[in-house]
Amino acid sequence: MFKSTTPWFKAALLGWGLGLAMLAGAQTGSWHGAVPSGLIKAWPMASGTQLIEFNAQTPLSELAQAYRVGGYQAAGGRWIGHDAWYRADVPDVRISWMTPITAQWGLIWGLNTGEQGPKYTITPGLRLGVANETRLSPHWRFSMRAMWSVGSRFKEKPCTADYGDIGGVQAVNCRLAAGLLSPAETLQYLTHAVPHDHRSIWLRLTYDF
Amino acid sequence: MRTQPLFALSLALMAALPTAHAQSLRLEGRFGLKPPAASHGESDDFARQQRARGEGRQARDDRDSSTDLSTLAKRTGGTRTSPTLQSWMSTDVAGAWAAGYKGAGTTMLFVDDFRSTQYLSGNLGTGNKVLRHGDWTSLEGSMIAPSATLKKQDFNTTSAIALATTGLNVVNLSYAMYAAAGYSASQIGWSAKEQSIIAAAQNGKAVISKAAGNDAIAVGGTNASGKVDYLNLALKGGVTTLFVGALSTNGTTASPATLASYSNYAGADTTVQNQFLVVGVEGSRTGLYGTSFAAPVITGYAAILGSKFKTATPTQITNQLLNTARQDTIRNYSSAIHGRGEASLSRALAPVSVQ
Repeated sequence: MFKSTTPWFKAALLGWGLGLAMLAGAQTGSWHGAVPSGLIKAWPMASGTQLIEFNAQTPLSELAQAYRVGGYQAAGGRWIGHDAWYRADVPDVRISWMTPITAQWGLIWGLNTGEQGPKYTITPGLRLGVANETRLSPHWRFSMRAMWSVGSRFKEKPCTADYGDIGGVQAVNCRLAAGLLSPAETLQYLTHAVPHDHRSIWLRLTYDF
Repeated sequence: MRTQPLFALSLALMAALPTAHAQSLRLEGRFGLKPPAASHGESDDFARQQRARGEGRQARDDRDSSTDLSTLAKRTGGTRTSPTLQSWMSTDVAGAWAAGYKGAGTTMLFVDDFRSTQYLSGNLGTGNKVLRHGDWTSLEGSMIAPSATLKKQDFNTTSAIALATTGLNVVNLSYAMYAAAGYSASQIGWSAKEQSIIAAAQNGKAVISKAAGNDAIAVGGTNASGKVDYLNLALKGGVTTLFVGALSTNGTTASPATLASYSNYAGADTTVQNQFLVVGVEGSRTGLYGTSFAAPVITGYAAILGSKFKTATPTQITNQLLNTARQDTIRNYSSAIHGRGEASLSRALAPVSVQ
């Protein structure tokens, strides 16, 4: 078993850019970049397992946030904003840990809690992966991480729009209801997304001097 | 009954004197270049027209009665797939295009001057051009609804208009049919072309976008020359008729627009008021003034609506444009002047409510 203070483990944390959220005020922010070793030490678990990510604003949650911007006027002139449709009381949170298996190999595992707004759902999911670091020489190190997600899907829900005499009541993409596309066509643009990193392989060659 | 021979005489005159007929038809187009007195002088306008006619002799003689947009795009240097918001367009159009423009599946028929040797100079944002009146109006409409099928019919032809069998039909009429005052529309001996247009308006077969006229009078009234646009009278009350007047600019709530000095207005007739719309004609940017250039805006709007609401009838499209017109973008709005108000494409495309 390796210790959390081994150089390669710290380097992996730095390279992966995994975020540790501050304990206080972590509602929407995430912390990416260098992780002080002191904080890492603050989160040891059994058998050397370390908390390596606490992200209170996942990529899918950021997508919902982007959809909050904008709106349009209804036929009668009333403003219809997107904000309330794509806002959730509890944000999607992703937490990941790394459990060492050997001196070179580690198991990454984690989950995201999911999120739900009036017009979208982010389903909870699991994250699994492996990490490896091989020292090629006294100065060179090769690091690898492979991860994939199960679940964790963004599903946008349609709205029901009343177009009056010209179009009747139809299911429609909430964001595109006032655009040029026919209501039925807008449904083709409902977002069904997975995190951009739901399957990822990360490679790194490091020279220490 | 006693007046019937007069009408027969009127018809005969129109048939026997094609030059006079054409002259009356062109009246609207010629007035279409008349600038507001506040911004341009009459002499400058005349000189510009003379220049335009001279240059126009070098222009290509286009006698196509029908063309698709790609042909027009080649001719004008534009492209079919990359519409550009021009300065003369309402920002409403940009809002509509933001979601990805379509306009496909609809047909815009422009009945206008496509054969004469009279040319007008202007610039709709694609460079200075010298075109016939009909080429200007059809270009304007196609720039607003780029994917709509564009058809043209010269207004000196007499054959009935041919409507597309599928999709929404919109007919643009940026011309007038003048005759001496004193008759009713039913007393006019219409050609098959006008008969078919009037029937389409009455039967709801096509949206009819009719330029209100540039005599600064109420629609249906008698102008200073003692003449009446009988096409306006005949179209009044048609279920798909839209009379289109001109605002001097595109209105906003921050900067409300006023009726252009030359534009005909709705008047006291509530039937006209209920089918009268106004749009901005920014002649200071394009060099093109007149309600001739207001009607194509509505024609384009109707085509865009028809591409979104594919099963909507022309009557429903017409009513949508009327029911979503704005009054808060017009300074001192009055139904007797501005009818239903300034057409709003974005509101016409939008739902009444969303849940």
